[in-house]
Formats: sequence, C-alpha cells, structure tokens
Amino acid sequence: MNHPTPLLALRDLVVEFDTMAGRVRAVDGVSLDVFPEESLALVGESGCGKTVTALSILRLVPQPPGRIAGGSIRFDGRDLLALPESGMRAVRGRDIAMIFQEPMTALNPVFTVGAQLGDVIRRHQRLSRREARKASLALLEQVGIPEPGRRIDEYPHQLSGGQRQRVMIAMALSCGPRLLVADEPTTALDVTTQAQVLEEIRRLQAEYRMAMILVTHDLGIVAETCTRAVVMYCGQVVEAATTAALFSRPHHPYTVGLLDSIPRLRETRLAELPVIPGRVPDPLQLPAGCRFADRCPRVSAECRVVSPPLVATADGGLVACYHPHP
Amino acid sequence: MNRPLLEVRELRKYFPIRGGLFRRVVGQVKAVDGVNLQLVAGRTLGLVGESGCGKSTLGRAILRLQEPTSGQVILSGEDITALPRQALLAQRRQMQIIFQDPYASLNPRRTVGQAIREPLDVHRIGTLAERQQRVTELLDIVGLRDSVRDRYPHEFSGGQRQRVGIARALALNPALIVADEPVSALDVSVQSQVLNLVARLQREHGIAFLFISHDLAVIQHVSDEVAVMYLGRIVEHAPAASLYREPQHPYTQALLSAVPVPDPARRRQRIVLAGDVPSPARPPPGCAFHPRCPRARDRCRQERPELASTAGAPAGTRVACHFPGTEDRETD
Repeated sequence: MNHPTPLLALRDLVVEFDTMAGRVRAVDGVSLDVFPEESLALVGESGCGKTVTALSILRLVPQPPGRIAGGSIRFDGRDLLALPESGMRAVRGRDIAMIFQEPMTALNPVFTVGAQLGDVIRRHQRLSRREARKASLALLEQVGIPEPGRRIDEYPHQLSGGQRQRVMIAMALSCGPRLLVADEPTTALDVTTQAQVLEEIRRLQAEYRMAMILVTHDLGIVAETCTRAVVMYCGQVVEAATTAALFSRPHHPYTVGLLDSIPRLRETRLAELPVIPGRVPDPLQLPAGCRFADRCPRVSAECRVVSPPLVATADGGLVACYHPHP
Repeated sequence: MNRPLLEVRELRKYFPIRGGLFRRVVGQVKAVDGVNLQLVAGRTLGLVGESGCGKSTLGRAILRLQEPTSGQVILSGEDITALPRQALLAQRRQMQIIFQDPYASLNPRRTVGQAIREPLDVHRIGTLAERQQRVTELLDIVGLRDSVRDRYPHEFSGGQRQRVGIARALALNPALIVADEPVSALDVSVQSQVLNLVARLQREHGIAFLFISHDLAVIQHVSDEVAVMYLGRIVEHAPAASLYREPQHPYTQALLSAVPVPDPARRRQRIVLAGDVPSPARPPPGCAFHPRCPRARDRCRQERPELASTAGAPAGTRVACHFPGTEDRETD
C-alpha cells in the first residue's frame, strides 16, 4: 500500500473499566491506522471492544467507570490524548464526527431538528441564525430527507428511524469533518431502510472525501461498504486486511469461523450451519496466551502460553496467530 | 398434503387509537388485517417482515396471548378462538412460544431447573421425581449440562439463556412452537448454534415451528415455507426454495436485494425502496405497498390484491400482487 501518512493512528490503546467484579480491559493494546478518504471497518461481536475503541477516539468513554489507561491516539499529527478538554471539543464535530446506533437517544427530544442542526453549525462556524437555517436546510436535502422545509421544524419523535439517522448524518457532516466514526449506524433500522442509509453514507463519504471508521458486527455491511477491515476479538485486533483479501483469504481462525458461521442467503439451504464452538471468555478471567485458543480448531500448546503478536502477512495484512490459514 | 396442524382464517387484530377529551376510539391500528395461513405438522413456516408489519402480533394472536379481533385459529381441528379460558389452558400444552429476549422471559429469582420445570408443574404432569428427570432430558436435548439446573439466568450467556427458553418450550411436548425472533439478540457466532438446534428439534421431534424473524438469511436456514408480511397482510407465501430463487412480489424482491451480502466480489443489482413503511393506522388504499412499489399502476391504487396462485410462478407460490413476476416490469 502506498498510503503516505495515516490520518488517524492508534498505538497500543488500552481502555479499562472498573466494575463491581473487578477491572476489565475492554480494549487491550489496539493499534490501527486510518488513511485519508478510506473506509475502515471495525468488526467483531458484542463485547469485543470495537465500540469502546471508537468512543476513545473522540474521548467519549464515560469516565468513571472507564479510563483510557495507555497508548496514544494521533490525529493528523496531534496527540488527542494530550489535548485539554477545550481543545478536544473543537476537534469533535469539526475534525472528527460521530454517528451512533440509536439516533433517538442521540437527538434531543425537546428541540426541533432545525434547532439542533443549527446549534452544531453555529458552534463551529460564524454564521447568523438565518444563515445556519439555510445551511441546515441544504444539509437535510443532501442527506435525502423528503420535504426538508417541513421536517426542519419537526421534533425527533415525528421522524421515522431512518429519517432520524439521516438527521444524525446531516449533523455529523455539518462541519465537513475529515473523519466520520459511525458506530453500528444501521443496526436499529429495517433492512430496506438500512440499504437506503448505507447507500447515503457511501455517497456522502465519497462526496465529502472523508475517511470513515464503520463499527459493525455485520460482515455483509463490511463487504459492501468498506475498503479495509480490522477484526477484533476480546479487546484485541486479531486480523487486519483489505476487504477483498479478508473475505477471499481470511487468515485468523476466528475470522474464518465467523465468515463460515454467519447466516447468509445461499443458493440452497444447508443441513447444518457451521459453528464456532464454545463462547467468548469472561473478560475478568481471560486465559493466558491467545484468547481464542479454547474455541480454535488449530490450537497448539504454544498458543496457551504467550499471546501471538500481530505480524504482517504475505498479502499485506496483519494477523495475530501462530497457525494462520495460508 | 396432510391435514394442517394449524389453520388461521381471516385473522385480524386491531388496536384502538384513543383520543380527544373522552378518550374515544378515533381510529384503529390494523396490526394484523385478514391473515390466512396453514401449517402442516412437523414443518417450519418462516414469517418474515420488517418492524411494525404485524408479524409478532400475528404470532401472539395465534396463541391467544393477545385476543384476536376476529377470525379463527384452528389447532389440530379445534377452533381455539372459540374456547373458554379453562379449555384454552389445556390446549396451550400443544402450543408454546420462544421469545426474542430470553433474559426478559426468565424469572431472575428462579433457577433454570425451576424455569424449565414450571410448565410441568402448572399442568401437573407426573410426580416430582418424574418432572426432575424430564428436566435432565430437556437440558440434554438443548445441549446444556445437567449441572446447570441449579444456576440462575444471570449466570448464563445469551445463547445459553435462549437454550433454556427452548428447553422450557419443549417441556410439554408441544406440537407447535411459535419462535418470535429467537436469535435476533444473539451474536452471529452463537446464532448459528441456536439455528442448528431449532432445525434439529424440528427433524427429530417432529415439532412444527412458526419462526418469526426480520432476517431473511436466518429464515432460510430453518424454513420449509416462507410467508412475507407487509402492513398486517401476507403478500407472498411460497415453498422456501422457490421464494428465495424466484420471488414474485416486488416487496419480497426488494427485501431480498437489501440483505447485505458478505462477499465483496459480488455486486448485485439492488432495489432500493423509496420512503418508509406507511403507518398501519392509515394504510394506503388499494395495495398497501403501492406508494413504494416500482411497478405500481392505477389499479394498484384502487384495488387491493388478494393472495392467490399466479401463472408462471413455481408450484405452491401464492402472491398478493396485480403484477407479480420475477423480472422487473417497467410501469408504462
């Protein structure tokens, strides 16, 4: 890959949470790069640390009980973890924007769509109320809200789920960010609405020439939306590759298992779906060595001693496994 | 074809909308609006549709967990919509339900052994020792160790809790299980474990399933037949293989094409539907799908199509559309 410098670089990120039962490392030494204008998928099952990783980029991990305990997050050369809170507020929205899974909880129910959009715009740009309203209308139109002139004066509860997510996207785009962090943006939506919203996100990402991190558990969405993917398991990166390589030649046994086991539309129905046996280990009692060892068909004695490091593969990706698939 | 185990005739479930000073009924949400279904013993019917289409309400109305507004549900030849409360309870032994969120449906203060035994206690089946023995069997059937019987629901993962929910549904040897989004709350690697279990139960125990899901890929793995619902009505009902290969209704086609495919090399033609699902309180006249349908013509706006077999479609396919067919026909 001939990408010059990454727009965003995470190095050895560690995020911990204090729980009643003890301290949990939700993110344990995650390193990844996001290059300008690329769309990177952060994929894994619930509890793998993908959302916490995404939240830490904007320093939105609730604290307490959470805490970024180590590592660095560099955006465009600046160390975000070293910024004062005021500096971080300027980054949020303007440089890096985020959209969430449930737009109803991310929007304020007592203000109109136009008021909330205008508020975000005026926070980062010197515009009059009238100019901000005009800009809001243009944004609503751009994200495909029907009848933007009417919708702008409505409240979030008057909109459908898909329209709310479009309003969130309009808000995220309002200041022309260079990086969009989208955390399961379509998980709460129906498939036909999901298809509309994903199409919109893809179009706008290209139009605004933004980089994007798409957090998802849905490998179908990864395949259709992202150019590169990072697979997480138990707080760690287990594999990173271009989407094409990941789907045609996955190296990590977890990735292989995940790709095999997802229910997907097939030509004919299978008698038995392949499964990954067992379950994700308890984050309070993580095994020594590789965290996937207990579920892995390729496990050997050495896997249980020392965690495999992330190493380069022949096809330009990364994998953390002693016995990767060729 | 055998006599159906379950027959649903013109089933309707309306919810009143109240408004104004005296909370008068000002409208009806037609959650289920005239559904006809048949299910043969030991087979699985997948019921698919998007949120708000009435699929869960239909499942509950069939079990009379929600009283239907009108219509009939005939289970093993008996019209259960006409049964008095007491007789209904006895019939309930034949029909069970599995819910989406097994955590919400299990009492946190009772051990899973007690939860699984509860239906046997309610229906006073066997002696206590026999019931305990049955719990052991049920745990084994769903792939849980007998040692877990004294543990509480919070000690289990989502997948294991769903196995407990399934074991409880199996306790009375039902002929029919309504499974309402049973894997939607589970992680992908666990989903397939539970789906395999459902398929095995159907095979080995001859249980008929009404399997409700919004996920067409999930439905495909368990269903012999599939019914697609839109705004309270069934728009297409077909043998599973035909529905996935040759969908006839434009809505089914759009649904299928909207499923993200985990294969970056395969780019499909996608039918992106315009707009949102209309409110079931104010369904559009004629065919309810017409405002979003790429094939809609004048007739669709006026006349509601009935579910019927159609020329050129595979055997057993019934579709509610004035212009059904696999290829895209442009409107004139």
